[in-house]
Amino acid sequence: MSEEAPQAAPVEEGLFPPAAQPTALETVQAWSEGEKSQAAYAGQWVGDQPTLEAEQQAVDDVKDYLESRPAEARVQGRFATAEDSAAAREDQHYVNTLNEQKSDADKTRDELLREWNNAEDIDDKTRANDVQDELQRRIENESQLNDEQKMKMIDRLYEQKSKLREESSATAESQNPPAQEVSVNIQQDSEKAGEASVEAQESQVEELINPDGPEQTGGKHRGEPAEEEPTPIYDELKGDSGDEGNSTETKSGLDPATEAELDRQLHKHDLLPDEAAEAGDTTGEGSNEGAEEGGEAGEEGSEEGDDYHEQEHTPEEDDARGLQVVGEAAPEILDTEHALEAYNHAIDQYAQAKIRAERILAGKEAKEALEAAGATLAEAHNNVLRAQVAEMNAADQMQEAAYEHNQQAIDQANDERDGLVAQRAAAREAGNYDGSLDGRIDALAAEVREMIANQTTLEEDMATREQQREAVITQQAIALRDAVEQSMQRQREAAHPRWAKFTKFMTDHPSVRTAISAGLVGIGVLGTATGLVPLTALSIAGGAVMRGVGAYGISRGIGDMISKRQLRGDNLRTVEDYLAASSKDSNTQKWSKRAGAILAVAAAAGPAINQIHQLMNHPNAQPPTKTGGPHNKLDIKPGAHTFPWTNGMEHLHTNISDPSQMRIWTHYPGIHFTGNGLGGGHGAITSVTYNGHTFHDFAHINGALNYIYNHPR
Amino acid sequence: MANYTRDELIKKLHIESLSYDDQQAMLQNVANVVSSRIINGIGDKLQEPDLQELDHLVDKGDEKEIETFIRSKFEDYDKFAAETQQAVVEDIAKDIELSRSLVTPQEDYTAESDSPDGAEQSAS
Repeated sequence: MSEEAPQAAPVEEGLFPPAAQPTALETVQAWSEGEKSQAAYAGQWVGDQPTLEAEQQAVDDVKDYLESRPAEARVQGRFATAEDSAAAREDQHYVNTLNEQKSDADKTRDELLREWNNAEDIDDKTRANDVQDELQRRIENESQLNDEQKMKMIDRLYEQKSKLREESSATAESQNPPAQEVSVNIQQDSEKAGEASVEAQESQVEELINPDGPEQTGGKHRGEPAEEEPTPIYDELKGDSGDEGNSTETKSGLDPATEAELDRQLHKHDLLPDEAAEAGDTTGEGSNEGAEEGGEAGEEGSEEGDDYHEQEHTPEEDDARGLQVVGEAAPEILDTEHALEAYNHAIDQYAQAKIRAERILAGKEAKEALEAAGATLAEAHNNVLRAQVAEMNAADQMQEAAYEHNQQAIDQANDERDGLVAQRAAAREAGNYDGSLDGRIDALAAEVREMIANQTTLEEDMATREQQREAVITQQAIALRDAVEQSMQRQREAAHPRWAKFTKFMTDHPSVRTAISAGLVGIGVLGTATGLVPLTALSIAGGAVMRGVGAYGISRGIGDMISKRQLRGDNLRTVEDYLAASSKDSNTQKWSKRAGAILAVAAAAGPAINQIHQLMNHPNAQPPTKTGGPHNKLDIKPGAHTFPWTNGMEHLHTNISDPSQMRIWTHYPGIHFTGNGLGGGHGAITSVTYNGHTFHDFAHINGALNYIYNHPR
Repeated sequence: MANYTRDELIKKLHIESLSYDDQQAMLQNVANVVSSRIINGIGDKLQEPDLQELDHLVDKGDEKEIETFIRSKFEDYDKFAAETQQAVVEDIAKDIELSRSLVTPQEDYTAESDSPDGAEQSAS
C-alpha cells in the first residue's frame, strides 16, 4: 500500500481537490487509464461489468411498479380492505411467479423465516429482502404496539429465525427432499411422532418464545382455526391464550418482569457459557488466591478431567467443560468474550433502531428508542474496552508469575544437580563411584535446558510488551469502530434493497467507492471494501515475540476459540494437562495454577491463532469447523496490499497479465481466482479461493499469486 | 478541518514502535472505517426518492453521474467527508487513550533481566 501511496494520492492539500479541479472519480479514472497501458490487471474497476441478473431485474422492475403505486393499494396485512388486498395480492402473485408459488402475504411467520434462511443460504439477497419486507409490514401494522415493542418483536423474529435454522441443520443431514418441502418436513420431524399438527408445532415454538405460557390477548386464541392466515406477526410472537400465572401481564406481554424472564428463557440454549463462566470465575478466583498453594481446585479439576475424557460427550458438554477449564485458568478471557457478545448485540440493536428512526413515519418513540440504544451501545463499548485491558493486565500477570516460578524451578533443579555432581565427584575421589548418579544428573540437565528455553521465550515476549500492548490496543479500537459501521451497512442493506444494490455496485467498481468514500486521502491511504487488513506478522522491533503475537494474542486466540465453541478435544485436553501439572509439586513444573495458565492457553491456542489470521483477513470467512489436521492445505501467507499487477512486477518481477503467465496462475490446482480480468486482459481479479475459503482482498490475492510462483508445478 | 499528516496519525494511534508495514496496515484499517462511515453517512442522507434515482443511475452504470449525484445531496460534500474522517480518527484515538489509561503499570522487562545462563553452564 505504501508504495501505492504516491500514485493514489494526487491531492496533497485537503481531503479532496477543489471544485475547479477534476473530481475524485476523474482522478481515479486518470490513474487507471494510465495503468491500462501497462497492464490490464492493475486495478479492479477497468471495463464495464454486468450488474444484475436478468431475472433479478425483472423482479425489481415489478417491485418498482408496485411500490410506486399509492400506499393504499399495497398489501396491508390483515387490516387492509378486502378490495385492497385483492388488488395487491393479484400484483403480488405476479411477483411471486418469478420467485415462488405462494404469496408472501399468505404465508405464516415461520414459513417466511424459513424462506429467509434459505435465501441467505443461497445468497439470494432479493428474496431475503422481500421476506423481510413482508415481516416488517406485518409488524408495522400492529397498531397496538409502540415502537419499542415493535423493535422487540423484531428481536424475537431474529431469535426465532435462528432457532428455525438450527432445526433445519439438525434434520438436513438425514433428509434431502426438494427445497420447497424442506421447511415442512423439518417442522414435522421436530415433533414427536403423531403430534405433527400445526397447533402442536406452533405451541412448541410459542413455548420457546413465551415460556410463561401463552396469554389471553386481543381475543385471538391459539386454538382458533388457521383460516385467519396470514396471522399477524404480533399475535404470533406474543402468544395469545394465556393460562398460567401471569394474568396481570400487560397486553403486549412485554412488561419488565416478563421481559426479563422471556430473555432468560430465550437464551436458555446459550446459558451454558454463562453458567460455566460463573463456575469458572468462582473457581478461578479461588485458584488465583491460592496460587502459591498449588490450588485444590486444580487438583480436583484434573481428576474431573481424567474422568471426563474417559467418557463420550456431546459438543455442548465439551463446550461447557472447556469454558469451565478456561474459567479456572483465565476468567478475564471469558469476561472479554461476554463483553464482546453484549457489544455485538448492542450494535445490532442500535443499527436497527437507527434504521427505524430514519423512516418517514418514525415517531417520537423511535427517536427515543434510538437514543436509548445509543446509550446502551456506548456503555457496551466502554465495557469491552475495560474488559480487553483487564484481560491484557491478566496476561501480563500470568506471564510474570510464570517467569518467577520458572526461575524457581530452574534454581531448584540446578541446586539438586550441583549437589549430585558434588556427590559424584566425592565418590570418584574416594574411588567408589558406581555410575548410579549419571542418569539423574543428565536428566536434570535436560530439564534445565528446556526450562531455560521457555524462560527465554517469556523474556523476549515481556521485553516487547509495551509495543505489543500499543499495537493490540490500537487494533482493538479500530476493530470495535469498524464493527459498528459494518453492522450499520448490513442493516441498511437489509432494509433497503436499492441501497444494497448500490453498495454492491461500489464493490464491483472500486473507483466509485474511492471517489465517494475516500479514506485517509490526505496521506494516500484509500478506503477499501475488503474488511480490516491483517497484521500478519506483528514485526515489533527487537523481539522474537512468541508466535508473533505474544501473550495478548494468545489470550485472544483462546477467546476466539471460546466464541467459536472450539475449545474441545485435543485443545481441551492440552489445557487440562497443563493445569494438572501446574497443581503438582514437581521439580520440573512448579507452576502455580495461575502461572500455568499462560502456557496452557499458549499450547491450546496455536490453531486458534492461525484461525484468527484467517478471520481478520476476511471477516466474513467462516472458521474451520475442526481444529488441526489440515489435509493438503496450501500454506499461503497474505501478500502486499497492492494491486495484483503491481505486486507481480515488484515482488515476482513478472507481468502476470501476460497471456503466458495467466495460463500459469489461472490453472493452478487448489487456487481459484475470479474477476472479469481473467478472460480478456482488461479487468480485475476480484477474489481468490483456496483451502475452502474465499478472500476478496489484495493481500490474499497477492499471497496466492506469490505462492503459485514460489511453488511452480 | 483536520488533514492529518502520516506522522500525526501514527502518533495519535500510538503505533510509532511498529514496523512500517504494520503501520501501513493500521492506517489502511482506519481508512476502511472512514470509508464505511462515509458510506453510512450517505445512506443517512438519502431518502426513498433519492434511492430510486440512484437505482436508475446504478443501472446505467455511469460512475461519473453517480459521484455527481451523491455529491449533489450534500451542501458541501468535501466538508462532510473531511469531518467524517476527523470524527473516526478522534473516536479511535479516544478509545485508545481510555484503554491506555486502564493498563496496569508493569515492571519493565528488558533483555538485561536476570538471565539463567548460569544454569546453562551448570547443566552442561
